[in-house]
Amino acid sequence: MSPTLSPLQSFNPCNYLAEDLKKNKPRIVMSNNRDDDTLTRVDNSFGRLPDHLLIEIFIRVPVLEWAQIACVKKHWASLFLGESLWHAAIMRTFPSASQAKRWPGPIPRGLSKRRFAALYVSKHIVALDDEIDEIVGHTYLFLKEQLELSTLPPPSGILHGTIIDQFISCGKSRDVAHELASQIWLAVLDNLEENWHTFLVLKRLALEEDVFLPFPYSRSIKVQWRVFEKLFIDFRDCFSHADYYDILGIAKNKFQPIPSACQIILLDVTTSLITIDVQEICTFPVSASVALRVAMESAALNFVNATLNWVTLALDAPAARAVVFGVHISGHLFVEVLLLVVILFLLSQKSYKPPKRPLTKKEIDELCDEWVPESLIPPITEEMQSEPPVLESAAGPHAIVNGKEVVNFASANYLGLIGHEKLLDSCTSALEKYGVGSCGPRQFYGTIDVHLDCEARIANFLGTTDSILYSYGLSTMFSAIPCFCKKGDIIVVDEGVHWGIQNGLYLSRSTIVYFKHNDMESLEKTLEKITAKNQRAKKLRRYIVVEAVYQNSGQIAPLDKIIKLKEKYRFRVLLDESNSIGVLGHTGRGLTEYCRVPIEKIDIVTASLGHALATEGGFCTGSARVVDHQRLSSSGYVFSASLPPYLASAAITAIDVLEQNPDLTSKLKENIAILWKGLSDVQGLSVASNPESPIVFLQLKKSTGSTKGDLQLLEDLANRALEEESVFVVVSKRSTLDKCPLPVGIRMFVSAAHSESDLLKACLSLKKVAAVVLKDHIRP
Amino acid sequence: MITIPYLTALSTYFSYGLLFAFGQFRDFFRKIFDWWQASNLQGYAPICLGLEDFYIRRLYLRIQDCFGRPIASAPDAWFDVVERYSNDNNKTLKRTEKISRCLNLGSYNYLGFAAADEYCTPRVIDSLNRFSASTCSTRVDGGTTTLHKELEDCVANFVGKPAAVVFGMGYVTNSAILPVIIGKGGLIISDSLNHNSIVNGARGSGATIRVFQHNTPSHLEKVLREQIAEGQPRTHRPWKKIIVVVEGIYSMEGELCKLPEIVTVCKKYKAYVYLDEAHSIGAVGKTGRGVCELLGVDTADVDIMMGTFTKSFGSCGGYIAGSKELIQYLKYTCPAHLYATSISPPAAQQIISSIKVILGEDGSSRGAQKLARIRENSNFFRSELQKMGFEVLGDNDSPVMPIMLYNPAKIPAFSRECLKQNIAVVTVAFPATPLLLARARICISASHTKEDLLKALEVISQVGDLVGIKYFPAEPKKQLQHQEQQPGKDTIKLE
Repeated sequence: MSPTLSPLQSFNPCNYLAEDLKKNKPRIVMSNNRDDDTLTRVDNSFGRLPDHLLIEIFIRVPVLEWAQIACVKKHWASLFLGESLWHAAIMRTFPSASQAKRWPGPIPRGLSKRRFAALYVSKHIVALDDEIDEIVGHTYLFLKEQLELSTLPPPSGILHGTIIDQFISCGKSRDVAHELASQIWLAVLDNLEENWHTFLVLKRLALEEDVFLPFPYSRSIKVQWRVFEKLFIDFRDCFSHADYYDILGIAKNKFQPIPSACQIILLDVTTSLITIDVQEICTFPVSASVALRVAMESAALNFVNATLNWVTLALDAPAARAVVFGVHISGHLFVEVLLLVVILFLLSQKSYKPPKRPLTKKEIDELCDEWVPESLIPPITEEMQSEPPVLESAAGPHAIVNGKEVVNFASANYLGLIGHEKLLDSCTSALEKYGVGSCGPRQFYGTIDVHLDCEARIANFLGTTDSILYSYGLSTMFSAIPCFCKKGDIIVVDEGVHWGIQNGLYLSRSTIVYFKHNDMESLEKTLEKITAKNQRAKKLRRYIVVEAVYQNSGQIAPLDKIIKLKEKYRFRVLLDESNSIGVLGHTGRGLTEYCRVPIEKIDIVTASLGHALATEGGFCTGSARVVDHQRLSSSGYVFSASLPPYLASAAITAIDVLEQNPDLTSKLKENIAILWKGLSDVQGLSVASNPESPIVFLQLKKSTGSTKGDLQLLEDLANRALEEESVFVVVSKRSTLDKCPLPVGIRMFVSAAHSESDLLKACLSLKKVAAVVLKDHIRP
Repeated sequence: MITIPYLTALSTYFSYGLLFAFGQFRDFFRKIFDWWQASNLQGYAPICLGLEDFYIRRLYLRIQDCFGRPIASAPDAWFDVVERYSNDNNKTLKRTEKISRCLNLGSYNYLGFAAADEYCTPRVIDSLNRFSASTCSTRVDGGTTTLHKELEDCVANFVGKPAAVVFGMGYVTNSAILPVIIGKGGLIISDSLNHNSIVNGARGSGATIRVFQHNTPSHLEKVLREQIAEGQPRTHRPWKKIIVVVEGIYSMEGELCKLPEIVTVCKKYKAYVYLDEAHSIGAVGKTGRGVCELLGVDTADVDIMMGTFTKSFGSCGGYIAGSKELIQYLKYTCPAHLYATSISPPAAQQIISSIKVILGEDGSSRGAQKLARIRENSNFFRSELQKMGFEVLGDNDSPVMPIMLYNPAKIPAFSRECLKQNIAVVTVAFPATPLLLARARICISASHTKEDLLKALEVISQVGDLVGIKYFPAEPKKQLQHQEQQPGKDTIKLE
């Protein structure tokens, strides 16, 4: 507000004007009226008047004349642009208008001119008799501007919402706000200019689907109706046919049932349109029928309404005044009770079940007669008939097959303990003392003192507290795993594990996740995935199962990395040391020694005694708890006869021999290196095993494409090596139950008892045989 | 079926209830105690869980001295039981140097081949020297020696089947063979009291498993009819094949299998018969050829014959005998043949030699004597026990005779009292038997003499009185009835 307004407030404007006229003294109030000076010179009498007097005069002129006054002089026009005139006008015309500067709500208040306009509007257009409410006027102006001026007005829902917000923030009650909003809408709609823009705006409003508005904002039907009314009456010539029927359809949807008063108008409109259409009826046959349908539908609606009214009346009539316990019994209560009765009746009925007709005895007899079982075994093929070579001597480094001495690479006699005198002696004395078998399970007098000694010896050798003997190598793993892993537990396992482990996993019914063979990245990913995916996984028992030296590939598991992962993700480790006990590490204590990992870090270690220790059976070791738990829970231990005592005593002696002759392992290491080197350039074959593994695994460089084909080829190679070269090597055969995905190959078990010449001979022979057998395979 | 007296059932339940409640009570305090101490699990889930662990800690450990008693000699008729002591309320047991010479009523030494034998032992030691203790190789690789070949021929011949294959462990024989011959879409109908190895083998096979009431051919027929009519679950496809698995002698019941009836039923419904002769081969039958011989069943009607060498032959391992094709197929694909170390050569020799003795091929009549002896011993012992009023299970001619104990407290009492008087018996309780049906099991051997048996009977009677397990009145009438019931037995005896 400009500072000049302050005197106006303090004086009565009329007196002030009179005084001024008397003095007749020009008084310059504003600084920027140089034009004014020139004008005063032109018009002596009226032009000399100072601006504030002119304003006082102008505002007394009826509003309708103001436009004309503004045209008379540039100076006067500038007065109409200024703030003070309008302010004075407000003061005069609407003395009760509020002077408050605060104006809450989203709609702007604007300068005095706009305020004047707003006040004017609320008085004359909205016609509020009791009070002059500025907000209404402002809102009116705002809405009109939005609809008129902008090319694309915001959706009506938003506008409406804004208006109601405005009222509510100005302290109106919700109901009043709604009432006012719809009044304003109606006023604006009525005062819109009849031009193309308005038509477009109205059409847009009409076409607008009901924009979802939250609870306080609902538009009155009156406003919506006015939009359609205006469109159909004032703008009907602007419609194209398509638009017309669109809008009509929307109208029908919106106003159901159509109030009768409006209906007449609607019908009026349609009939008038029909008359227009008649000329074009050939081109638009649809329009007429649509119009007729509208008429018929409204008639039908009337009928339905009338019927409903009658039904309500009929139901209400008999009990119109009945009151039971303060509840008015009316028609809908009857219907509800009726429904309840029906529901109860339906609930009390038995659900429909198709009648059960068990098979009659005769039918079962027929089914049993008809049933033809498969044969117990599939037909025998030629490959199934092959017989393994029969040894006529002990399976030492040199064995006799078919009366011929051969170099034996088929026995996992890693330390050359087969035929060792000390072992034979201990076996003989045990046989004499204890007989052959133990004649009972461990629990029922099958525990012989040598078993306990053997368990203690093994534990002592490996540095654990206790161990448990199983009577067979294969059963060790498949009994130990189900003993610790139950349904719901998680086992992460290398895909290349041997069948004994696979079977144990299957019997445990745990969740089994495989990782890529000997691939630590894959293991880590798997562990990460399991731990991240499953929050519950933390509460389950989790295991990693690996073999120290994989029987199916000759790879050595990187135990140090596994331990790191295990500790990171809190998994327990089950390690099968069948092919590493007595082999790896300097003193033959297995993979833990080889990788310099304390054995306590491995939770469960299993191993077969039938390899390096040259006896039979298996053992499992770990903490005392792990071992004790198996004594009553491991089925292969509890339900099987114990290990023949002479084999247990052989195991004790074998460990003694191993401890007394540390050169055995170093000799074995040398032998492995010699064979590995010698076989590294065999034609068509590659060494797939770890250079320190006692299992030297030769794989075809190029697979034939099928396991069966590979097997055939390798089998041929092995047979020739045996027959022609007297080198006994074997192919890793696969049972149909074995799910190991690794390729087959020739598996050579190196022994410390092999002499250097044996090894060199083997290399030479294999090269020779491979050159012949794989000749055809390599060339294409 | 065993009918347990009402009062006994009640007192047994009460005893277990008491043990359970007391165990839980102690666990509760243990938990509080553990709660104060920091957990040493470090983020791992406990390795032993649930009721199994509870059972071991709170029930089994109290009486663990009755189980797993170590011996220091061959498990012959008399053996040396190593004495043990405990300083921590039976939690751990320590061996002493002291031994007590006891009469062995526990080992499966039916024919007395457990101890050194004049015919077998020298041959076994010979083979040991020739072939060493192990081949360190699987049968398909370098683990087949001439001895293995001979053994297989010998077993096939003994059992009365065209071919056989042997394995190094009886348990593995069952659990690795079943998955080979049957898989998904097949049905295994198993006797309800079959051995754990069969149960595990059946589970490992992936086939559907149904159970019929123990040794009840009529129920087997019912199950077979139902299953054939129903087909596979959900899809209702016909079964690929059905294998009925039974045992020759049930080791916990001492009962003989009703093989003739079962074979008839299976033949009628085209099911294959799998007979586990773990306890019966060598022990029963006129020439020791098992239940087939005893009950007059043609071995051709039994499709798969399984047995172990642990019991009568005093060795280790197991066999499967069947048609030549079956054996060929098994040798081609059975994991136990492909992946497991072959049976130890001395053990193989023990089997060959003992079979030779049984068949009289050693040139003596020792085998026949042993067979006659075990039958006489068994039947004598059984009838005497019954006369005394014990509740003895099992059939005549079976060398296995369980004596019912029922109450959990009577298990250690019977076992310890007998041991005090130098009789070693086996007591069996849950989980090997149903919870209520704890029992003592006596296995008679051909190596027991009459005096041994009389001593045993005297002691058992005395202990039986002490412990209170003579559930039937001891009346001489009972004995008469028994003899009337078993006229067949007497005629055999007369022969």
